[in-house]
Amino acid sequence: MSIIKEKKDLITKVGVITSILNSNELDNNNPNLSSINTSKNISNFLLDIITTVNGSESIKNLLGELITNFLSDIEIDMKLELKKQFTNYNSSNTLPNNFINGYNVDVSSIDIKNKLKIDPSSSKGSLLYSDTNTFDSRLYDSIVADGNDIDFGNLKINYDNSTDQFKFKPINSATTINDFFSSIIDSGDFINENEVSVKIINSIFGTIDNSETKSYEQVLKELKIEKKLQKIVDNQDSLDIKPSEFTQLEITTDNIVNGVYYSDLGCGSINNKINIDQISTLINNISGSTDPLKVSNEYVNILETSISNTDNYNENKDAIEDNFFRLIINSLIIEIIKSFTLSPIIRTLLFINGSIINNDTQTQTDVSDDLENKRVLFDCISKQAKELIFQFIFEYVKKELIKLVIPVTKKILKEKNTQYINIIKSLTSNII
Amino acid sequence: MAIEYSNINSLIDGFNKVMSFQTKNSPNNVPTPLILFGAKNRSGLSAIEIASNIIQRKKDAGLPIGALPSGNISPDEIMERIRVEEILKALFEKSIITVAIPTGIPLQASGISADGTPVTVYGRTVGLARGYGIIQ
Repeated sequence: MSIIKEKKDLITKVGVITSILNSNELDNNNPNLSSINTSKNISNFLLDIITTVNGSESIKNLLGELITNFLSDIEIDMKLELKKQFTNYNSSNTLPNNFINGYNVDVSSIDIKNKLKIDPSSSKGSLLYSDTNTFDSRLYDSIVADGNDIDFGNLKINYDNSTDQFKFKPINSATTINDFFSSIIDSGDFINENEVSVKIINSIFGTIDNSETKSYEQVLKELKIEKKLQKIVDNQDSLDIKPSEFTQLEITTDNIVNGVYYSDLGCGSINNKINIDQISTLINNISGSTDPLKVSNEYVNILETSISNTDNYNENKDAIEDNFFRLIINSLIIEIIKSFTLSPIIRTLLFINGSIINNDTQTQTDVSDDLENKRVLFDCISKQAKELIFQFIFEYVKKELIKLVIPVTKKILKEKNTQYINIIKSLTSNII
Repeated sequence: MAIEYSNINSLIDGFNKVMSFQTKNSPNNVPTPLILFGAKNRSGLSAIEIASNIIQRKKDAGLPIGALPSGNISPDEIMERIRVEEILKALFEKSIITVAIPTGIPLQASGISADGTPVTVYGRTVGLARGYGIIQ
């Protein structure tokens, strides 16, 4: 080899080594999948995988499956978790005397969203109270009964209008603390498919929130509580609301109080609205349905009904639908967790439990303080709910992945068989 | 497989297992006598032969084969030969093949004892052994 070529080769080799050393890791092949860069958000990552496997249609179908097949089953597992959380050192004791005589608690401590101020027979109320035998309905009935006892499972509820308080006491006091809580949890109805659908739609379009006349302070308080719960769901160490987050909450509060709700579905699709009648239509059409496709199509219908700018929607239909269903599914996860952490029945159980533990002295606590002081309880409930939800979504994605993997595996098996035959042929062709 | 559904790493492992294309049975074993007799009769690897086959199969991908319209050899085909040559060079000169020989291999040995008596020994190997090979 001539010296010139050797020098060229050496310089080229140095350049190659420099290039290899200085090359960065390969860029993200999917820059549009933001879940790849956010380490902790599991739901968005699962939804991105579904989209990669089978397009946005899969997310729509997943919503149908979640509402028709998942919601009816989650309650059983969550009740087991709740029973564990309400088991204490004194659970084998009989119910204490002061509780047998009744504990009093402010309605506002139990009903943090002011649901009990809404008449179930109203158009809004019919969406929020889907059944007359739920705990919430019985609470409302006791308010109407004003002074007369209303029963729910082993619990007697009595409302006093003069103090705006409920009195709770057991109907059958000859039972242990553990059995009492178990019986109330078993009687409880934490998840109702219709109510969950209403709450999900409200979280995106603000239809229910906008139509209520709540004070600025009430709205801000509710948003702060939901923000803290979101931090628990996201496994954040601190529940403190940062100044920037508080500013955003104030802006949202202003908007809600002024009847404005920005529903941003992406691609410039904002200010989309849904009214109560349209939500009623959705609920009537999906109520009791076991057909996931029918349910998901009804959600597509309500999306199309809500659109304020149809030209923009037609141009960006797939992206807007994709965003809409992602918002719906993420909202569904939060509403499920809220049902087991912030609902009136949970607030009641926490109140009774806290009072019994506090030497049988009724002890009313603020929900915001409860989120901090009973962090372990809320963490456990949130974790269990997320496990169940993510397990369902994982199994759904796995089914779709297996449909892809099976044909490829068959091809690989066939390839290996062909390779084997060719190896045998290559070994025998010169022998024979 | 036990998956922690609220742990992102566990979920990723779960999906990777689903997509690992693993099949239950290992590849079919080639009979040992066939390897013994057949392997030494193989022709060995040839960069020119491999590159030619790859270039030949370009038509399967709908790509043109042969000289460019200008009459020059296609750089893509030159690159193909270079690629194969370098890969084979690394395999011939740098690769290490290590064979693990298990215990329990039957052996039979015969010889003559000190007093001239024929001795035959039957047994099995008791220790692990290692062998080395090259690629040709």
